[in-house]
Amino acid sequence: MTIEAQTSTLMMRGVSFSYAQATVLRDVNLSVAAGEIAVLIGRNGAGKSTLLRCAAGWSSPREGRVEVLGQPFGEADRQLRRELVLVTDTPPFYDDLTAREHVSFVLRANHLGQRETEAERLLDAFGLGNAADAYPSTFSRGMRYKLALVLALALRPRLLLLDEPFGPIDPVSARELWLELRALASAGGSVLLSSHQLPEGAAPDRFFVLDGGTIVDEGPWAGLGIDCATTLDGLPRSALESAESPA
Amino acid sequence: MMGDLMLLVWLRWRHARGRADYWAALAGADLGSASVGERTYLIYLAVLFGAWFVAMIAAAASGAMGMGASLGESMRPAVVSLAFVVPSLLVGTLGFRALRSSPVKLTFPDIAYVGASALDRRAVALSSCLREVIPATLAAVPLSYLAGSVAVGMGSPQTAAGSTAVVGALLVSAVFLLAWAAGLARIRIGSRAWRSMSWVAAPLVALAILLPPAATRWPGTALVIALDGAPVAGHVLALLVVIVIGVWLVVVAASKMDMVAVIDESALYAQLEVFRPLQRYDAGAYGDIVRRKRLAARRPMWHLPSGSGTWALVARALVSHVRQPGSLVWPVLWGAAVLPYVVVTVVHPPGLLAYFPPVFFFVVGPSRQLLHVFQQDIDRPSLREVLPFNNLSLLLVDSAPVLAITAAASAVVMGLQAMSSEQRVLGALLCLMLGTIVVTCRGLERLTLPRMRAPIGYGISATISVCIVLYAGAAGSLWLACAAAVAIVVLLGFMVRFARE
Repeated sequence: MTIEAQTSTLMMRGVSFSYAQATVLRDVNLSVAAGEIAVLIGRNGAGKSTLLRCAAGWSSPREGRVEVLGQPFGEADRQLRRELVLVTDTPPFYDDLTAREHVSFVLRANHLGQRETEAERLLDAFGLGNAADAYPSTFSRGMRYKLALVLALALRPRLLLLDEPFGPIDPVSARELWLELRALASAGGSVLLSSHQLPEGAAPDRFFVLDGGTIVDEGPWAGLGIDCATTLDGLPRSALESAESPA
Repeated sequence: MMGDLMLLVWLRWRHARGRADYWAALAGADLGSASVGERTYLIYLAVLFGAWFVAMIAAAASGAMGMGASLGESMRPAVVSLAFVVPSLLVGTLGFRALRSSPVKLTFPDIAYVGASALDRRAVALSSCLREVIPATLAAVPLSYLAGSVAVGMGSPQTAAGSTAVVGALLVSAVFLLAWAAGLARIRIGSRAWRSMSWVAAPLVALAILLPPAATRWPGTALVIALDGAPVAGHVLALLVVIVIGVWLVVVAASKMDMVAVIDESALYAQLEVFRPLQRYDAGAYGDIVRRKRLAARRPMWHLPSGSGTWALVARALVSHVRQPGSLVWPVLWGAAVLPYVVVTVVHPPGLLAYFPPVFFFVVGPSRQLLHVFQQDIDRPSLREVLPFNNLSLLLVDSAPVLAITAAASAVVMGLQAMSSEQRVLGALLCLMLGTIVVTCRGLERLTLPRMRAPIGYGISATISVCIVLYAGAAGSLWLACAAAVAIVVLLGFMVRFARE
């Protein structure tokens, strides 16, 4: 099965994951289609970050199957890694490389050196142009997250996984990020992001509600008819209530 | 692959430069400056430290030759046995390490930008491997040279030192590469079924190259021939062939390396890497963090045994040691080696200068690790408040398992000594007292005596205590040394009892 033949960019089937002492994910089934932006909602400790790590091939599920572009991680590891990026909630950086050197290194590591101009545009768009020659260790939390976003977006991945992207960044950058995500999705990419908040006016295509390591609700965002900026917090609560109420 | 390898070499060079910046700054140099004066100063520093290093190695080699001469020809069989044990130990430890978890270790930034990138797996593995093999090989050169110098002192030709350095370095390099290849083979894609038990192979192979037949003992034989100063060209060539094969195996095994497993198994390393700079300033605090992180990554073993009051504390201390089995190594080490060494010095008083080694080992030995249970109680005021025991009771009860293991190990070792029965019994008793002194001195370091501003450091209290015991042994008898040790224990006990946290 070729990569191009796939319509479901990310598919997780029966995924369970445990740390040493606790089961974090239980029988998670989830798929994100090409051109789709999906949002993962849930309380702290619900398993959102672990789910994203499993989806990115950073952690190996105890049970179940993760397929990206129709392929499991394994032989095609390197090809797949070119196609997906995970930005964690506290992105790490090398102490001894400047922001611009990070961009250059990451692009070269992915054999995409020709995208440096695009990366410069993104640095400017996120307000990091003037700080690009400084070490990320001198950056604020928001600037560090924006640098991680620049690195991710410059790669133009087929699947972008973002952990709490709107928390650390300012509203202007959040709006800019949403436009970039929409552009990525329009070009056929997929985005799965975990978040407690979305920029004003932003409307994802699908949502998943995760609680206690299980998907308790999911569906298309359209038709919910809600203003996400004000009612996103209520979504997990209503999903939980409906899951707990007797049929 | 070569392009990716060069990119990773560049990255590691940047890291190395960052560390060099730190050390250069300590010597007042600025690596970033291009001025002629700064460059000249750097050259001066390089020459100075180079000359210092060579002078130190020369002095150490001279000392090693002296040691060889004092050991004499009669000790040669023991040195030969040791030469056979060294490759076996290397294979056992390096093999175990590589097979227990992924030999490729990634930091958090590495996970995000190297592990999760499209870089060639072989380049990732090879660059990580070389980063470990090259420093280890360089470190093996002077160490092997010193071992060769001991052999020269025992009567081997002068060429033995150089030959041993070459063979030792190549041997280390070969073992590292083969261990890496085995470790990478373990984490190849689709090999999960036997991963957890694969480390068993390391001690088995280590045993195989320790025991006859001669063919499997070749690494040790090569080392023995080098120590004898005989021609080693053939063995050097054979080792070079093994190294080339090792590199090839690393590359082949890395082509199927499971990057998910590498990232998974790098989790603890990545967490600890964040704290690694602390190691330079407070190795003990860093050791504590390592211990805690390792513990957190494991499933809790054993349940807290029932018991109240003092028994609850003993049960807690037991559980703490059972859940961190590595902590039991230190009381065994103290009980089986350090304390009997001090006692043997008391029984057979040597010349004045020969007192230095037992005092040194007693004071500098890893004593902090003996006290991790008490340390947890003292370092957490909220926890200390809910424990209704005075400091002395808490110290002794928390350290009861440690003291019991130390005493048992000492009793076994003293029982094997060529001494009279009375000396053995008194020796075991003195070991117990010395063990208690170590624990109370360490405990005293965490407390402050009334009317004192700062605690008494372990170095001071332990040095004074062991010197008094050694002096009593030299001046009188083992009985007197025991009496002195008991008196010191009582005094230290009072000090701990009335000290405050």
